[in-house]
Amino acid sequence: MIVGIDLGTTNSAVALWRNDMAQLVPNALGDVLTPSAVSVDATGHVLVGQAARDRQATHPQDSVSSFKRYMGTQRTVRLHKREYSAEDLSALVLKSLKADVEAFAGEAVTDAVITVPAYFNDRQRKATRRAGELAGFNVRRLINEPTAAALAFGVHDRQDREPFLVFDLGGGTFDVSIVEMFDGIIEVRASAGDNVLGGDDFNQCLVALVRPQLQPAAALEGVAPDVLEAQLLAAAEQARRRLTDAAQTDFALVLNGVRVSAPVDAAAFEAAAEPLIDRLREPVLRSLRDSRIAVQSLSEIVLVGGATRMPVVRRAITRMFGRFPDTTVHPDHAVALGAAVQAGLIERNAGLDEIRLTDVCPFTLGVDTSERDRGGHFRHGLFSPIIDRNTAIPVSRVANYTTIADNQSFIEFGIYQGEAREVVSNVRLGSIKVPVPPRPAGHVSVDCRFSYDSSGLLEVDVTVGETGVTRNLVILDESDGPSDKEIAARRAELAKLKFHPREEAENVALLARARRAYEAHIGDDRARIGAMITDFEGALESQDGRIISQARVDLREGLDLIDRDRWL
Amino acid sequence: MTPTAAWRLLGIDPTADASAIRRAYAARLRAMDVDADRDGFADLRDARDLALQLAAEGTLDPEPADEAAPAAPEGEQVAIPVPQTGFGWTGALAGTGDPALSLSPPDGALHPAALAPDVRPAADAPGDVLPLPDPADLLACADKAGGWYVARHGLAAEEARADRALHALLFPRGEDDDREQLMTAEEEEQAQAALAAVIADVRGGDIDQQARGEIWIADILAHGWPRSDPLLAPAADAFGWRARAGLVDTPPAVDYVNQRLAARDFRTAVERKDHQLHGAWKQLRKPTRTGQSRALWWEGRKIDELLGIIRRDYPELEQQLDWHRVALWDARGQKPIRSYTWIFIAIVVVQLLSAIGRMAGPSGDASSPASLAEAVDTPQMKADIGDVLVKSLGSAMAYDEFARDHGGLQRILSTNWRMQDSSGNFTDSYARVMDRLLRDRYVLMAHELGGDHLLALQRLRLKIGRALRKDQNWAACNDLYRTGLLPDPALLPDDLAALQRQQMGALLLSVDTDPAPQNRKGGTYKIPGAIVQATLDGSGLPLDRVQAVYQGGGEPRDVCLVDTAMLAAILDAAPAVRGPLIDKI
Repeated sequence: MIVGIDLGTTNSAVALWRNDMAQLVPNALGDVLTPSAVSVDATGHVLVGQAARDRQATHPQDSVSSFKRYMGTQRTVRLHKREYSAEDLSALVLKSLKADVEAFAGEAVTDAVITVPAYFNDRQRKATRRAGELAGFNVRRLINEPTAAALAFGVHDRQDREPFLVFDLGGGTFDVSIVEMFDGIIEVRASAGDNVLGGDDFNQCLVALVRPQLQPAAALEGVAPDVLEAQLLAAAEQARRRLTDAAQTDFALVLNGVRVSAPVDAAAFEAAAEPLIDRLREPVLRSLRDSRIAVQSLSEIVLVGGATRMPVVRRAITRMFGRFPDTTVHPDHAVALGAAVQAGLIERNAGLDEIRLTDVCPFTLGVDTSERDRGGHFRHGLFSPIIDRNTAIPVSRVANYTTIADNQSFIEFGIYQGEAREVVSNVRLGSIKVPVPPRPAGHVSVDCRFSYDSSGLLEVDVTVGETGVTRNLVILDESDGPSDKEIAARRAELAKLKFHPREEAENVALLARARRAYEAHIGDDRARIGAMITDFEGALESQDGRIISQARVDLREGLDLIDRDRWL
Repeated sequence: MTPTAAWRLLGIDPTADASAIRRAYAARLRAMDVDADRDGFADLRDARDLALQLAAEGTLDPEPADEAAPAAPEGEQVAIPVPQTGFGWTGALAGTGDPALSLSPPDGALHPAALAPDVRPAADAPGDVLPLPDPADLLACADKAGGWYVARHGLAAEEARADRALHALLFPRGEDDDREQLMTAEEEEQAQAALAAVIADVRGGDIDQQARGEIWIADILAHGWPRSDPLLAPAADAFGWRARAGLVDTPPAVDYVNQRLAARDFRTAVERKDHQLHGAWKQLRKPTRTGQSRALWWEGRKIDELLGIIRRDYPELEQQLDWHRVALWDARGQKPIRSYTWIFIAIVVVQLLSAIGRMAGPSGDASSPASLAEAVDTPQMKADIGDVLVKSLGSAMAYDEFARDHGGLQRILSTNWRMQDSSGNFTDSYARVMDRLLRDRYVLMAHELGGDHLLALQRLRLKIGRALRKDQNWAACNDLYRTGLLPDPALLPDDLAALQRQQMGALLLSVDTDPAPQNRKGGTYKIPGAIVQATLDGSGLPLDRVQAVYQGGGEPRDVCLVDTAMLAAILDAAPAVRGPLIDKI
């Protein structure tokens, strides 16, 4: 059985194709969304999900979230005496989802389809694939998030649709895709995006706006900077959500027992967020231009991702497109459901027999060349595109190059992905070297063929016309990627980590939530929460199942009365 | 991908029904494995796109009807271009126009009054440049741009749109030359207000309108530079153009604006005292004294670097430097001092030699300056020139006689020999180069003298043309007719080469060929229809190909056949007809 997984910046989800429909799978706490957060407690147990997210408010040094931003980089974080890379952390989240599916379906699950932002570059995609392998999955395919949302949207009622635009603004990434459906063929016309634009950036914007006005200011001094940062961002997230429905709210947090707050109103926030809203334009424009579709001919705008709930974003979208966006699709669920549809397609489920999906490559692929400028000098390091962005994949294109010096002995092609004219600003995927016969400059003709297939595998073939010498390179592994043995070793390492048993997950999560609530309140409320925590811990020690479940209900209801903030 | 192949791939008959095309594509796509058959998938996509395009255009018939070739017109005049002589300097050096100094906006950017190619104006009124989203905004624009526009042009308020105001400010007379005149302070203020109003309007529309407005503003600023200089920064900030610098898909106008802004930023940076190239900048800006021919430099490497950066990236900054000082810097590598030194040394040596000669005796023969010139006539040179006379002109004349009777020609040959000797630069042997020179000279002389000489030349050319045609040497035949010059004798059969040699010798050695003949000018001429008919018959080609050759095009083979036939026809014609034409062909 293949499952579809949405590995998001803020929240992750997993879904199956079953009974001719895509279904979301609940986790141990009964939620379909699992926050992408990891925390390590004092006993060395690793918490994943809601518990980790709550624990981040109380133990920020032992917790981490939004690590999707660091996929494809070498950045690590230190949790409780151990270093974790972004891949490791994603793997832990995926492991937790795997356990959830196996509990739900009652059978072992080995294969998965994982979603990535459409604008993830090659490095980031490989990192995601490795995270899946570390979690014990055989990653059958990586699918773009807006394409997945389009699948969920389209397969739902199987109608023919004129081109529609998927606007996916998640926690950390922004993607735009223009998709067309006809007779069961789902065709992506263009994709574009911004990998560093998402709800988290709006949080930071709000923090920057509010920070100078926080009262009492003295309370901010005594707190370590990274702890302060984490607390402020968490408070910003809450305040931002409240601003969705209210014109103004209090930005409040508790530091060292002191409640610090400042009022913030929606208008001021929107004015401060204007540069971020401006950044939404460029990917939309690029995808419209590349697909050669006018705004008026789009049939609808489909919103995906939690951040599209923000009024400022909704207003910007309405202004951009001259119409109201479509909200039938659940912005948080669509991507996982779409991934499940893709899983069903791969399995060739009977219900999906007629569906075919064709995607595009969102980045331009090419090599570095040198050109003569006006003064007759050579400028090196210029990008020569071979496969233009938003070409339908699979695709194979060939381009012709010559030598620049007399008696040159070889040509080395650097292979790059990106849109900048100078290759230093693009992502380097690899290089390939081919020997050439000694000739005057410009007399040797070399053909370079790029072949890009549906799963994002790039193959480069270089042929020298005169001698017939060929070289081939398959961009599978970058030079700094780990080998299979290393991956196996890391998987074993992760398997050694301690986790709470599944049955305990609810208790652990509830305790974490209670402790966060304790820190977030002061005075009488805090005292009351403290008392409830003590009662619950006592019930846990009794080890009596009925007492424990009763105590759980009590604590939850008590918290719901006092602590109205929720993450999901 | 041809239309028939497209319909065949899709498996349907040509139709204008878009959904039928897409259904066919869907069926084909379902039947294939795209990863296994990558090229097939690409072909299928191309086929579908082409079919949809044809369906949208309404043209379904792929084959154009063949036209019957008409008969040659009788008595009609046909214009044919005269072959220009190929060698010689035409008077224009390639690339003397320094592109940096002209700095015209990039090609493809239309006149600001027109829109970018992918934009359609909402209204078709002439001079309408930007359709605004809401008529109510027109008056709002007028207020922000200021009533000055209305007052100055006496227009009704509805006409006072900010975009027109901006356009009028940047191009007061509506011509491209306006951009050389910078704006006054008052005009600049009004322009800023107009620009702000236009930007505000543009941002209020939907994203397509924003894109169109952005391109319009970029175009108008690019075309209006340097007059639009103060407006570049506000526009770039409003649209975020600087962030898009250096991407492959930036529009050329935005690129242009970015480059001008980058130049301005560089200038600001380099004028700061702590910039590493500041010293070089100050040096190059210092004005020179009149008549100054040398300058002192320090930190030469930094000056080199600065000039390199300016010339490569910011060409307009070069105008801010003192031109004379830059010229002095560029010239310093040529070291004119050196040649003076050699001349000085040469004079000293000559004086020494003559002094030694005078000391040695009154009849020193190798020491007087006059005999220096004669001594340069080396035996080697005489032998080579004699060789040329034999091989090219078929004459066994002695060198001295040749030098005496044909001084002009001898001077040319000996000068060329000396040039070759000193620089050793001839790619071909001296004999071959001289042969080519003499052949060309013969052709020009024959044309200049006219009469029997010209007739003899043309008859020779016809014989050569026929020989080359028989050999099927189309390239050489094409050259013969297109350049009007004689080919290398190595390409000809022996008897023809001998004939060519003999005719050349006859003319060049019998007629005084000073001064040198002029290059022939190009142009067109008319030939009567009878000749055309004879040409058609003689060449055996259809009329359209003959016409292509007449117009200066055509394949070498066609040129050979047509021109041989035409030359034969002209030479066979009556002298009255032949007369005016024989000079031109």
